[in-house]
Amino acid sequence: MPSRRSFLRCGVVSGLTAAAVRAADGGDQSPPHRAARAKRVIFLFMHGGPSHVDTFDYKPELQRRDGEALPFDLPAEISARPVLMRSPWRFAQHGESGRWVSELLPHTAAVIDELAILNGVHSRGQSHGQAVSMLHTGSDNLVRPSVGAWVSYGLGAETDAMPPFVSLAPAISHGGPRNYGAAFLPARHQATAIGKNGTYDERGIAHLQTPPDFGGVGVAEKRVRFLQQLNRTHLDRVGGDPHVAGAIEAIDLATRMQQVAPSVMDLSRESAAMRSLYGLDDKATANFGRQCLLARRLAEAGVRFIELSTGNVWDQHGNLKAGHEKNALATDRPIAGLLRDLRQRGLLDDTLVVWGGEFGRTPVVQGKNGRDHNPQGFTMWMAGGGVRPGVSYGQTDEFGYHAEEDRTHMHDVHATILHLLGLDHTRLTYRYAGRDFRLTDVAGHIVEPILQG
Amino acid sequence: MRVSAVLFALAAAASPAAADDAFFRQRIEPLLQTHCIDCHAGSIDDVGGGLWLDHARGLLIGGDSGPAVVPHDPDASVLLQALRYDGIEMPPDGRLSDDEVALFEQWIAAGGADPRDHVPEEARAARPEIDIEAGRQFWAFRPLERVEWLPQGPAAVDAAVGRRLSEARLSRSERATPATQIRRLAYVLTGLPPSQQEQEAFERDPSDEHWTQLVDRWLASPAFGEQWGRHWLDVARYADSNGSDFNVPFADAWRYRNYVIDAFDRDRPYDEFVRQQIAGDLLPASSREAATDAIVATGFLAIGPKMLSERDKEKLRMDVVDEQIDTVGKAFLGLTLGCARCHDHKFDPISQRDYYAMAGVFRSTQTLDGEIQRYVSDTVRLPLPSDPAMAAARATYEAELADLIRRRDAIRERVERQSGREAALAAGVVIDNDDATVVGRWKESTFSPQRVGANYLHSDRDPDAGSVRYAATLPPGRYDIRVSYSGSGGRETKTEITIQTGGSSHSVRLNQAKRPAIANLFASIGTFEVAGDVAVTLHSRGSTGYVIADAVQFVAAGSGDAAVPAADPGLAADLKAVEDAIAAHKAAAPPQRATALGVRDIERPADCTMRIRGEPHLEGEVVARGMPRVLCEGDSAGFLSEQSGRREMATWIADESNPLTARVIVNRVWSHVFGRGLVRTPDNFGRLGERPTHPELLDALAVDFVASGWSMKRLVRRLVLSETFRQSSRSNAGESSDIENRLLWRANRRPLSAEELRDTLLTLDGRLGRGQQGPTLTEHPKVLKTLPKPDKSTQVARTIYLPVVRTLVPPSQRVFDFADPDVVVGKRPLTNVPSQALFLLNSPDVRDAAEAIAIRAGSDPIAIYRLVLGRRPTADEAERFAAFARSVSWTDAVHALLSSTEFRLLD
Repeated sequence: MPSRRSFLRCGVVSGLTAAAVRAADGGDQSPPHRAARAKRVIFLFMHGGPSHVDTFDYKPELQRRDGEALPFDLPAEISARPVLMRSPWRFAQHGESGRWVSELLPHTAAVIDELAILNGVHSRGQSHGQAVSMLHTGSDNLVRPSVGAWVSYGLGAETDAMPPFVSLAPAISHGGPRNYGAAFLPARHQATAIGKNGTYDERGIAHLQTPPDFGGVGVAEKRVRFLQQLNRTHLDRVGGDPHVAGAIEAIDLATRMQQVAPSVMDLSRESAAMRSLYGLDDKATANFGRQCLLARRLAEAGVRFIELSTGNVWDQHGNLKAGHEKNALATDRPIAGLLRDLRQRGLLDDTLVVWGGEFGRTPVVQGKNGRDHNPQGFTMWMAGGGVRPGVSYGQTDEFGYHAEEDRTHMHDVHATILHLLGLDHTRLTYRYAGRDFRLTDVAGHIVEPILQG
Repeated sequence: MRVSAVLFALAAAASPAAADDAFFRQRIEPLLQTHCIDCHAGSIDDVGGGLWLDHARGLLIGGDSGPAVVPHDPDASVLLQALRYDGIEMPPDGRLSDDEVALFEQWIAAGGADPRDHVPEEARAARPEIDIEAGRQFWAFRPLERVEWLPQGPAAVDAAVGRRLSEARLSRSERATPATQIRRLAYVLTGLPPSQQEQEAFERDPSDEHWTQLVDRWLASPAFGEQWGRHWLDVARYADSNGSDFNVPFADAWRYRNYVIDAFDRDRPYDEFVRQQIAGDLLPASSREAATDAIVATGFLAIGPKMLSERDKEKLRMDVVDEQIDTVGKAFLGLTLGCARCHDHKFDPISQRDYYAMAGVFRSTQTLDGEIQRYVSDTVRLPLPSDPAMAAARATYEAELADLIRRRDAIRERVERQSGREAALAAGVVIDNDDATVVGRWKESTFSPQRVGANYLHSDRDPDAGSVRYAATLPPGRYDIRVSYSGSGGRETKTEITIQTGGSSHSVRLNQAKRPAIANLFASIGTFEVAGDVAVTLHSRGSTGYVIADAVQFVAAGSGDAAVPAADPGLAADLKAVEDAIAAHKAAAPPQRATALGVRDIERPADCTMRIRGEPHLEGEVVARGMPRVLCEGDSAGFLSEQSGRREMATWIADESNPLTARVIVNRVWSHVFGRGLVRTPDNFGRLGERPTHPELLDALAVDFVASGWSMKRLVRRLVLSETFRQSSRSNAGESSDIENRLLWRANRRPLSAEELRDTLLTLDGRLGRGQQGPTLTEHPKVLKTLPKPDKSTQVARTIYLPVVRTLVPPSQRVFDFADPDVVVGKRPLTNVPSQALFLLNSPDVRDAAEAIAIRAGSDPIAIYRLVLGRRPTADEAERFAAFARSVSWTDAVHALLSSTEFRLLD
């Protein structure tokens, strides 16, 4: 099979018709590198860095040795003190798989057998900016395309009535749009953002709706029809032109989006039972619940990559107990609801769900009751989309500080996501400034043990 | 097994230290010889994994899997991973014993000393030095060539283009209509549509003289500097904020923006423009204005996005250096020099040594200074030269202010003395901070005069500063315990204080933001039963403000406070008078010295060490500062400088013998006039960039450009006076042999830029404000979280004056392919996406303009077409337009026209 690059490079040649460009550049007919297990991704971004030692990484030794000195050196440039702090939450084993989950996440614990838990993740970046960038783009300092943009570029759109990559409530800080941007990939691969900083915006996609004072729906439709007449006259007069033809097509596309997207985004079409499953009936869970429910609707509508964000709320340098309890409460039920719903619709088989923050938190204490950033070892999980359910992979040391056994680097997480989508991370490349770029740079290993056989 | 471990331990105890060469010779080398060298030495075809283990550099550089040895970091060393059979398994015929693996671990942890500095011939041959001589033969690195057969002046363009066309059996298109020509010219030169009068006048008289007049008028208009300045700001990744991880405002960035606009407006010679942006602060200046310009110009190096919160400051420093090298390389030289940070450039003759020769220059340059908050670096602020009269006024002002403050403090002190400071101090036993037990990192200060003793301590807002313990032995009894501090905003409001006495412990909180009640010096924290030994401890933990630890006082309860005498009313009046004088003085303060965003040399400029694989902490040999050898004559590319070397670099880049500088800028100018460059990758003239479609023309223009004194306006003038510029953009189905129009058989149609679109809408509805704008940001929060609303005049100013806040570029600009301010953009992407259609159809901005135009042009299709599209409609068009307008509304008809391809695309 020719490499993707040979398909894609012709996309930058001008002079082709817009349709031809679209087909060549990530169109529907371009085959993936190998059989895909997943067709789409829902990424649940726990911005701020949830504490792994208080959620999925049970450390009896940490519980026992609370208040004792950390028996090895702290990493450089860290504000925590080298004193161990036990988790204030009880852990128990759950499901047939018997995985440990803390009492913070009872709803996730109830669907634990769906998850493949990566307990030995490590990344780069001691501060949020670097680590958030690393998680989203595979680089902690340079401007690179985001994971969703690579997926859109690699697979093309499943539908032309919806954007291929949607980011719900993305952060303005810590790189902001860079984390869902296309960088040097063609601009259409950047995410369409809805809302910001963890809050979903009911108004939806910018400029999607015609404001009511523009003369009403009938008028707007007439105006578009007249506009397309003007454009076609122009196209004839200039003797054919890819820009003009492309703009005419983009207007058709926008019109289709205007017809389809509002109904996709309309959560009132869901039953009361469904809204309750996602926690829309409770103030504490409604915001993230809406995001999760919308994510399922976007998945059904053919969006390739859907990112949800909690906003930068998990960053408990102090007040661990109150902060993590609030955040867990806000997200736990909606996430479990999403997994159950995807399962009952048969969507979980080809939808990969990924959960994680930019890093975990230190097993040692910061201030009186907080934890500092811990990119040295933390937990992420995946579910559905060809992931082997009910397994865990990798381990941190006895306190949960450093990923120690079966370590999974962030590049490995990316390689595995692409693999499940049928994309080979070493062959998904884009030539820019004279070099072939990859999401995984020169690294990345597929985490085989969590793949379904 | 057990026995051998003991033996080994004994042997190790008697052996040389792991950091010594002897350790390597005795323990490591024999193991390498026995188990590794068979495969990991010899010629490139034989050597396993591209890894040589027979010389020191071989281990450090490593093979296909990265450096084999990372000194001091066994876990990062691939060699050790392999020996541990962790992912890679070496030696393949069986794992070494645990003890042997432990030896390697010990050796690497101690630094991996390896005395084998001889590099065998085979290894040297496998990593060939870049062939500089061969590299110099590449077209872009060859000297500019004078082309004898080309005529001088604008005719050169047509002659060179015509020659290629006739070789391909193609011919130039006929001239575009006068209406199209003047519209194209107006946008290229000014970014704005021509006025109705200009348009009509040219249609009446489309003569060459008239054309030349228009060209010269618009070249001289302020709009030219704004349009062409913006092209350069794309290259300079201009922004008014840092973006990245920590979006601090760049309050002074606007000065650089205006410097760029002025440079194009006044036609500053390009070589000077280059030199100022790299080393303006180091160049001699003939006047204060010139010195100001030159300092502001260095904003070019400082304005890039940076990961300010990177905690590893050496990494941050090298990342900033990298961003500067990459930007200078692409902007001025069209070279992707950043590629050589980790290894020799894979395609261009730029070695990693060349990179670190330049890195030494920028590493000797200061871009960051201090911290905004813990771990977050701040940018340098350069004071600008000020008017001597203004500077003198400011100095006088400051001296007078200091004098007033001294008078006020003297009065205050007398008031305080009178109001019982001495009495308060005499009321009980005082323990000052000098006699306290200080644990942790507290800072001494004498900032506030409200204190006991010579100084006091503060926590510097660090909750981990520690504690200060004041102990005393007192006759048993009840005591009022008092703490002295200077109260003010920013102080901790919940300072934790523990009191331990007689085995009991109390904890209280004190609000140090409040002025202390007793003589403005002490605050009581309560009355306690003291058993004899007593200790009062102030803690920083849990604090967010400044915790002040000055003195603690124990006043026996019931001893009665000394009566606080009322202050002398005369003194109070004096105090009020001097405080009023201070306020009045401040209100009339002359302006502070202005600052600029820019760079300066560090105190001790020095050469930089190579960083193996680009890792900031893996240092290799020192490289003398200099420029890439392929671009220099002979072998010596280094330069000696007491300074950073930026001045030398600037001089070298802007030298007429540098073949790239003139070619790159001429190509940039060409691309903005004709829509595409002669080299279609304007930021990459390297091997992986495109080749010029008309190499002789590029060189001829470059030679003439340099000879003309690097005049940008002259170059632009030459291009727009050519027939090639004035031809029609109409496609011709028969010209399929060059569908991309590389040979310029027609003009290129191009969409209006985001700026042109907005500026045009404002022009058409008559609201566009003219005139240069000053500061962009009206507020300067620590971090920008929302796009600041510009002031009234900026709201209708040309788009170049709107704030460019990284991560917050508004959709009106972003969807129309505004240049990404994070990177060098020589060529904006041209996208055709639904979000553009949605914006044009549904944005109130467009609707408002439609409404205003419908009113302004009346219900007249001809007037509307002339205004919006700059041409008369055909009878059929006018009829259909009027029919639609009548059936819906004139606003809707104009709105459709503003959303149309003909409006958005420039023919």
